[in-house]
Amino acid sequence: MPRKTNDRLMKEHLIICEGRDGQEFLIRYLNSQALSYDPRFSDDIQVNDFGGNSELYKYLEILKNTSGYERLRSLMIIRDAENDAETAVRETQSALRKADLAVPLEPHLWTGDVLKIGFVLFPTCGDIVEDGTLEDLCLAILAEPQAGEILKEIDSFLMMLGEAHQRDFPRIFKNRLHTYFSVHNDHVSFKIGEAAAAGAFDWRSERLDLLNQFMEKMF
Amino acid sequence: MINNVVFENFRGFEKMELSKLRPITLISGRNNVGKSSILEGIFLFFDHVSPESFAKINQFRGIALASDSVNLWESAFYQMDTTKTMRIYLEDDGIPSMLEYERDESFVPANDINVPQEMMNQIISSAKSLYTLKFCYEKKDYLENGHFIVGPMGMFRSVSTTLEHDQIDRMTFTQYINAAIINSGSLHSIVEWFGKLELEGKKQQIINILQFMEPMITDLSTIVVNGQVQLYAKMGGQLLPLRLAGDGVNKLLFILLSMIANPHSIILIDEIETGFHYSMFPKLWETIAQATYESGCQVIATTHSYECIVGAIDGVESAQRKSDFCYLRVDKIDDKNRAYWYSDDLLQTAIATDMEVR
Repeated sequence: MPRKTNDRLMKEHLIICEGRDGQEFLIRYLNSQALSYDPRFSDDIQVNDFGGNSELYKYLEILKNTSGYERLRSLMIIRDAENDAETAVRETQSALRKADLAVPLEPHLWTGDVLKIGFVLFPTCGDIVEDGTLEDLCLAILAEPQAGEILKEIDSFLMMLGEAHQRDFPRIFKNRLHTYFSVHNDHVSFKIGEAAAAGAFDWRSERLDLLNQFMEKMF
Repeated sequence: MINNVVFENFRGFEKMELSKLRPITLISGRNNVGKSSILEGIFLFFDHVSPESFAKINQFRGIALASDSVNLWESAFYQMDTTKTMRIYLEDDGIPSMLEYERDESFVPANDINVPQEMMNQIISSAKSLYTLKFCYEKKDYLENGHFIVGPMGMFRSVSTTLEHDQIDRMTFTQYINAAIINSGSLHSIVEWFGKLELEGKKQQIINILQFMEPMITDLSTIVVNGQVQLYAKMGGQLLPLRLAGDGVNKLLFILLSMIANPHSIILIDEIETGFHYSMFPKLWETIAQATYESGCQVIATTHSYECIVGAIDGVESAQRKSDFCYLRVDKIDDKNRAYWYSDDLLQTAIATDMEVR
């Protein structure tokens, strides 16, 4: 098994998210000019990847054993709603309950005293959940002014491919986003984090307001 | 098998609890959090009948033999404060037991017919002028107590409880293997245990295991050189002192012989990674897991090595002994010691998700 970079808990505020893409996306957002008015976003929050959703409970158990856990003041969980947002809410609450941690009654709500705990789901990041993923959020905050027009063309292209070659796109959100990156000279072959670093997203988009509001209450 | 152990006022622990230990328990943590102290405390518990028990745990740290209480037992007390009672609670195969040491300023030993009067006078004088260390060992209805006294010939252990020889509780054999590479004392044990296993027809088993680390070893023999029995290995058709085969081979042999020659014993290994190349760790742990299972021994080891921890996961899985393994991360937070417990499954997930486990 190759040696990997081990994350120590260095900060008092921790966001854990599903997958490297989510981790990179959030790190770029926290360090963006849109949040530079409050240096705590870039300095006081650590972002970790908890792996797959099925691993969340085990990750939380491990987190409780990890050096620095006793200094944590807030813990925020972010994951995709996927194709059943209500199930995603229940799964997140269940993992917290099983790990003997405070369980928020709904998304976008902080609970707990010594350690505040809250969770939100991509793509809405609010109290009202919708099916979808981080990619859906990314598609909604593309910085390029013509992005909407280009996406319409991409949708037509994918539909044509589907009809002409009997192609099914079970994860169409990924096809749409990565096709968009591939037709943009500055973002070809990029992953979400790299595209975020290259300026693909508008960090001041209204679609991020709920996430912003929730994160402000971490402190 | 030790299930749980609690230390009070021992070494750097005001209190330290370790729970749910398994046949193979691997311990890690930052420097100075008490990893070696855990092993020393367990050793002291099982070796407490020996007058040299305190001297031995000091020797594990390379501290030279001393003949005064300050250097003998005071360093075993938390903050070297002998006014607070030191206790080790230990649950062994579900049976609770306790070892306790406390300062006793009033005890004066009675004459002992087995000790020459002149020496006895010096022991009594020492007990009066210094202080003695009262000990008490309890296990269910069994009780054993007495005193340690610093005498002219070193430590004197006076037992107050009247017990017939066959009534004395037999302690589990405990082998402490420290980070230092095998010394002359270990070599003596290696030769003795190897001879015992050779008589039992287990020689080839030992050779087969050593071959994973040194494939050139085809045979092992005990040979007398200058009146001393030594272990020789046949490598490439030539007999060579096994000591020349390298530290890893010798350490592996010492660990294995400790287990195979002493079934149902407790093997305490400090900084187990020392002497082994990281690529050997999975096979090393697989071998230890198999030997632990077959001998009924319990292995409690410490490490600083990330590769060793990862190797343990792989090794116990290869040996199909995952349920025999647990990992403890020990830490000190606000001067309080604590051990965090991981099953094999939890540790595997922690490694896979890049969580810091040391």
